[in-house]
Amino acid sequence: MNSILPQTLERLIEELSRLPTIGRKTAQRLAFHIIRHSPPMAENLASAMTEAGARIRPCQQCFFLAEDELCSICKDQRRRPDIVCVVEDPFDVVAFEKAGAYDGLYHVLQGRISPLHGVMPEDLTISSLLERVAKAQPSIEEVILATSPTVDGDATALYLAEQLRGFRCRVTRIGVGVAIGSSLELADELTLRHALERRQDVE
Amino acid sequence: MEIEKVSIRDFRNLRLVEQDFASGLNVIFGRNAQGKTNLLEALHMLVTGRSFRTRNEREIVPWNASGYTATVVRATVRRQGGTDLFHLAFNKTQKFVSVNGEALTRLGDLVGRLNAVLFTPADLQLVQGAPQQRRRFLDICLAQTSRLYLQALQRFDTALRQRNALLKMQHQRKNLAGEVAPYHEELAASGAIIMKQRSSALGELSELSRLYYTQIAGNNETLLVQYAPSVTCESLEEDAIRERIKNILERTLQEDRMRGVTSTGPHRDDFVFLLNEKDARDFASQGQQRTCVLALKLAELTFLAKHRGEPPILFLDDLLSELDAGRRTHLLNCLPENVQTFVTMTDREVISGRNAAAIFEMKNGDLKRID
Ligand SMILES: Nc1ncnc2c1ncn2[C@@H]1O[C@H](COP(=O)(O)OP(=O)(O)OP(=O)(O)O)[C@@H](O)[C@H]1O
Ligand SMILES: [Mg+2]
Ligand SMILES: [Zn+2]
Repeated sequence: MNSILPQTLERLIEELSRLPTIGRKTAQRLAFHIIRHSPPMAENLASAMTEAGARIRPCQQCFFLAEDELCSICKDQRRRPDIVCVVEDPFDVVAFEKAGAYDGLYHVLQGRISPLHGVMPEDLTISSLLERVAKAQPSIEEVILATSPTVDGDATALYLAEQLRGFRCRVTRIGVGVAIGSSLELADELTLRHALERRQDVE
Repeated sequence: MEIEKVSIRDFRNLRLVEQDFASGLNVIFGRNAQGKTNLLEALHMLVTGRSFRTRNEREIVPWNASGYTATVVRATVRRQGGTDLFHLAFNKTQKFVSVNGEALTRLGDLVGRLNAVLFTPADLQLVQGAPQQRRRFLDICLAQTSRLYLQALQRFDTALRQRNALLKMQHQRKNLAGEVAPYHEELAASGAIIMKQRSSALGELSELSRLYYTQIAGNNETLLVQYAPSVTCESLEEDAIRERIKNILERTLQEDRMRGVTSTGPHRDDFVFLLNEKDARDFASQGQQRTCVLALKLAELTFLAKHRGEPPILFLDDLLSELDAGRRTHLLNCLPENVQTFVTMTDREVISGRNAAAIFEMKNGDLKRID
């Protein structure tokens, strides 16, 4: 397509529109915004992106986002090293941290098993998890499987549970149940069933 | 439930239909090719958001309507506890659906708002066609009455596609049994819910169909609608069915691996129409087969009314073709009174003797009330 815009701007728009949820129109708006405030804004943005792109890498231990060998969570001495929460994506770690109720460590699988999409166990960080559980000092007492309660998330959790069977650590699955603050009426039947099957004694 | 009022614009040969309908029996008669089926098609689109005749909505756009902008169906529907305004509009590039002014982003959100049972001549396929069509009938019927069923169906489908993908993998996986095991758990859990509900629904539908069949046929032929599950199980307990499905999936793994598909499971279920204990597909006449389907559809209506607490709307397109005079009369007599029914026919004589709530004539795309 022949554009009336300068070529450099056209390239910026094109790169921006590759981002998720950004269409051509939004990309154009963003691009205009960036250059209007130039040069500081454009430069800041560019350097932030270059640096992040170059320096962010998966944590060597848990595969969460890190700048050094270990991420800030793994480095944190105050956290319990004997409990590991297994999640699909870095997003999930952020969500758990925001809730602030967990003080153990994580393990990010970087996805979930899905043969349909060609994602097999070896494409995830499962072998690292098993190695971690085998070798950790102090030892890991509990592994919490916190993959999503979808068919794929459940299948991944079941697969992991089987793989972890040989170790002496406890393996648990996060409770799936009624969303707090929502009425029972609105919960779907499958959710209610799970909530009932995994009910607990009232203390 | 009933459609009180409708406004249809530029739908096939219907240029503009604005009409109030009656509770009870609405008869639409007219010669061939006047637009009777088109009218039912338009009304029925409010049920699923899709046409029962075509997957391609472009076919519905009028061939040569000058000044065409969009095909529009609006309807006022009274149900227990309120009135809903449906608005559906589309043209060759866009589609829009709203209920009570609120736009729906997914067509799936429309399901369950307007419940209906539809009978068209093509439904003879329920007897004659492939098992897939009978499963579809069951799934649509049950999905309207049980959210649990719908969810189990969706989860089953995902797990099945995952298992099949594993079976088709180019290179033999070292730990196939271990990798497929989680899907077996899911298939067994969802499959047990599906099978249990299918079995009990078919029990109810069979009993109702038997009654309707006798009423329409007016003789002592006995219809039985029988579940033919892919996985047979002695017990009706969900846990027992679950174990049984799991067992079979494990047993057939190697064989399925050779074929690249899952050969056994609820996705291969079927049911049969037994007329005097003989398979209607092989032994019944056209008229008998049509009566079987009608009986099942009326059974579905009663089933939906019972489980949803409110009778759905009944659409009967051309139902009188291929039935003899006796069966026609009996059929008209056993249409439930409290159900709003739309019947199309070419011959007006047929309904004399039975009190229709309203009679309409369809002529070249124009609908006129004539009683
Ligand atoms: N997209 C379209 N634009 C205009 N006319 C159409 C379109 N699609 C179908 N038609 C016409 O609509 C007419 C009426 O069709 P319909 O199937 O409703 O007839 P009917 O009254 O049910 O007849 P029958 O008694 O034979 O079943 C047909 O003549 C057909 O050619
Ligand atoms: Mg017709
Ligand atoms: Zn880490």
